[in-house]
Amino acid sequence: MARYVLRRIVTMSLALWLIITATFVIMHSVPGGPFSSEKNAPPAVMQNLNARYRLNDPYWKQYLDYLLNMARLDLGPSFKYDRSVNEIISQGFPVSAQLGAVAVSIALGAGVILGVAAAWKQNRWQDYTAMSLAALGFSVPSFILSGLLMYIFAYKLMWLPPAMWGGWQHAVMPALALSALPTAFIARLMRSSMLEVLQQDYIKTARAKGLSPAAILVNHALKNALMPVATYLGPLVAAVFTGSFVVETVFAIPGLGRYFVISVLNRDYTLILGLTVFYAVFLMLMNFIVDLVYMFLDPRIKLADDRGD
Amino acid sequence: MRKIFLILAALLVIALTGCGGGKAGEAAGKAKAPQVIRYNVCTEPETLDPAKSTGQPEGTILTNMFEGLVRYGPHNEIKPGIAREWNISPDGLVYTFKLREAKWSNGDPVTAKDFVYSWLRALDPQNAYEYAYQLFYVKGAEEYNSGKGRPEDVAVRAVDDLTLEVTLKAPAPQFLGLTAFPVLFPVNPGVDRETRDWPKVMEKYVVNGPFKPVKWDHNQKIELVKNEKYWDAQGVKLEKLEIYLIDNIDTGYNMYKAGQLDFQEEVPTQEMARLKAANEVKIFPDASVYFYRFNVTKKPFNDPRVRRAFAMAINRGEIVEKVAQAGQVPAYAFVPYGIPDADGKDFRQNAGNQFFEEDVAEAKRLLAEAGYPEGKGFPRVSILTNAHAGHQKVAQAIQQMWKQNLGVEVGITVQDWKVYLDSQDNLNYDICRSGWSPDYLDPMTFIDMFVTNGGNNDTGWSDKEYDALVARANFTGGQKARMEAMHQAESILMKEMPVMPIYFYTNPNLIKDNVKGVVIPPFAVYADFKNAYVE
Repeated sequence: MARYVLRRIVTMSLALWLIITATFVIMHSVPGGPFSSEKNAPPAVMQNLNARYRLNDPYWKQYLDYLLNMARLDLGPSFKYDRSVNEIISQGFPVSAQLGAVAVSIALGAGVILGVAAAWKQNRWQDYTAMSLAALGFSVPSFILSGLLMYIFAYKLMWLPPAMWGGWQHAVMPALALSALPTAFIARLMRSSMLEVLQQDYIKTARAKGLSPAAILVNHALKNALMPVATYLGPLVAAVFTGSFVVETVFAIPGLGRYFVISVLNRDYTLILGLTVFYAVFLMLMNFIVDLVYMFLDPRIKLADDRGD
Repeated sequence: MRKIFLILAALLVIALTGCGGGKAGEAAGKAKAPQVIRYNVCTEPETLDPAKSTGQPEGTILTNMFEGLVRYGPHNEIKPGIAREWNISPDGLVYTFKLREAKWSNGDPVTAKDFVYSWLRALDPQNAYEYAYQLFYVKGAEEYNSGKGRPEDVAVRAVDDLTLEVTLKAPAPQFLGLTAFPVLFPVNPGVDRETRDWPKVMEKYVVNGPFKPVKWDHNQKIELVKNEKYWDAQGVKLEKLEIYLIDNIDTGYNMYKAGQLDFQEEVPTQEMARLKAANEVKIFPDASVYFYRFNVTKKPFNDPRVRRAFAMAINRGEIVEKVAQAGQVPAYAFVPYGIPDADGKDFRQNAGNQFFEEDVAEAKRLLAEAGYPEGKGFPRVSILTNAHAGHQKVAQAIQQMWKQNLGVEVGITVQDWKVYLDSQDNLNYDICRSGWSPDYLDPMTFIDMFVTNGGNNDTGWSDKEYDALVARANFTGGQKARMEAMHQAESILMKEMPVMPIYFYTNPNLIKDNVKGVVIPPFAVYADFKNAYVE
């Protein structure tokens, strides 16, 4: 186990290094810099800015400095905002993560129920309804859904505040908007894996033994059918917890999602890199956790090094 | 079972509508008109350090918290701020400011030394403030900022606690007005020395203006309350100013409709016509110009006849009315309205807004003369614009007009903002959408853009006579001679047409009727709430 974890850490570090390097190269090859603006400052001022933010240094030095600072967990100052990248992440991430947690819970609950219902009543109205809902969730873009939710709940019914971050009322619409797509995805995953599991011999055996349908479903089928959903959960949590640009701007949520887009538009180099690093680490960590969860869900799966050489 | 569901559903409805009930209570309280304004500045400010700020949202927030030597009044007049009075030497070089006895919000006196400290801080090359060049009028300032001079050689001096003496390197009548802008605001030296990050920490933030900050929730709002230590606190009627930082204009508009905002800096374009009709949009003058640059370094726009032909072959009235829709003024000149001339009247009105006319026949003749009769043989060119729905719509309208009137096919190239800036700077374009807003209240901020190799010329255009006129205006103390030189320069610009003016901007705002007394000057698009109140 310890050796397995160690090996994963080594491969993750390697992947991270590749990601940083690629981002660094791409970022600097895109035209425009952080300090270009409609009103060009005099050369002396630009010189000061470039010196202050070390943009005069050769690329290899900027790159090495960045890696060294990162090793100390310092992601540098934002070039655009009067805050450090660490500050921006530590202020935005908790908000996005809270919202994301609600959204993932909704997606998981609704998705599993829809998927199971569709599989259990295959080719009946329950199936068609669930899969039509899933198709909607897939195809309606989040800005449309957000706008629609706002129109109905904030403007027409006036049940919920239209925007900003505060009490639970503020989380309802953005969480619904965020959960639509993963709900649809989980429902379809769940349906197909459930159908597969229901064909298995041990389910037939359970049926033959005369167990009630509910007992078969809950005690025998569900756990195994959940495996693909668990796989999907890793990247899903990473994506949803780090926020969505569209949902956060539409509902004025002070999360992290907006910065993934704004940083690129501003050529805010340190923020671009910092967010990429943060997201990559978070994603790899989630996948790692999913792999560990596998072991408990399915005893047949063993971690690579546990096989014993 | 069903009953339980019904009860649950009923409870849910009550819980959800509970927040609606709160709103009704607030509305009832409004009868007394609490002196609070909720204003959406429409973006997260990049900084609240006055010397570091460059943009409009920062300008608005800072102007309400600080006071420079002077402050602009409701009719664009310069009024005493921290300076009670001032004297300008006859050669226009030495400014002597007499300060009033004002206090910082922590009780410290505001002194001339604070200004010296703050201006040197703004110029410090180590700090690398982008707008430091607004102080380059001061003798020795540019040298210090570019690392060639010493701070003690910058000609700003505290004669005594309440007398500030500034020497300029050349006469610059616009300098006085500049002292009303953030980069030239004083900061509290004690606080700045002690806590370098005070502009980020609202508990440590010390101001000398009408309001002081209480809280900064990033991407949400900044709360300001009345600063009782402000020298003119008596004139401040607002108890509280909530500045919202909601960047989605439609979301802000929804909040406005839901009664959660009183005022928004921007208006959703698709609602413009309706809101204007309903009188919810107030349109303020804006001394900025919307124009197209021509790349004069290559065919076909190296020929002034082609540039003139293009400028004459569009219908600006239609663009303003049908596309831009916010009461903009068609531009047949480059310097906008709202900037005073030597006689105190309007620079634009004095010279007229008619350097050229829209005349399709004449445009066709010019184009034929340049070798493209009926647009035949005209090379494929393209309008470069940044990705912004409004700019793209204007470009499409103009594209149509050129096709119809000149028989010329023009493409549209849309680029992301930073790529667009890069292309514009490097003359990687044929025609380029641009806009310009003044840095100070003087035509020079528009005229000096187009001197040979000017940092914001970006057209490749160069004209010796034009350069000479700009130089003359820059080194003449007399306002009359200066303005005369700039009028002449503008007429050269409009004859040669490296740029094609389209319209003069306006500044539409979404404002509730009961909000009064907000000052929105035309030359720096900020909103000053010093004398604002709720009726």
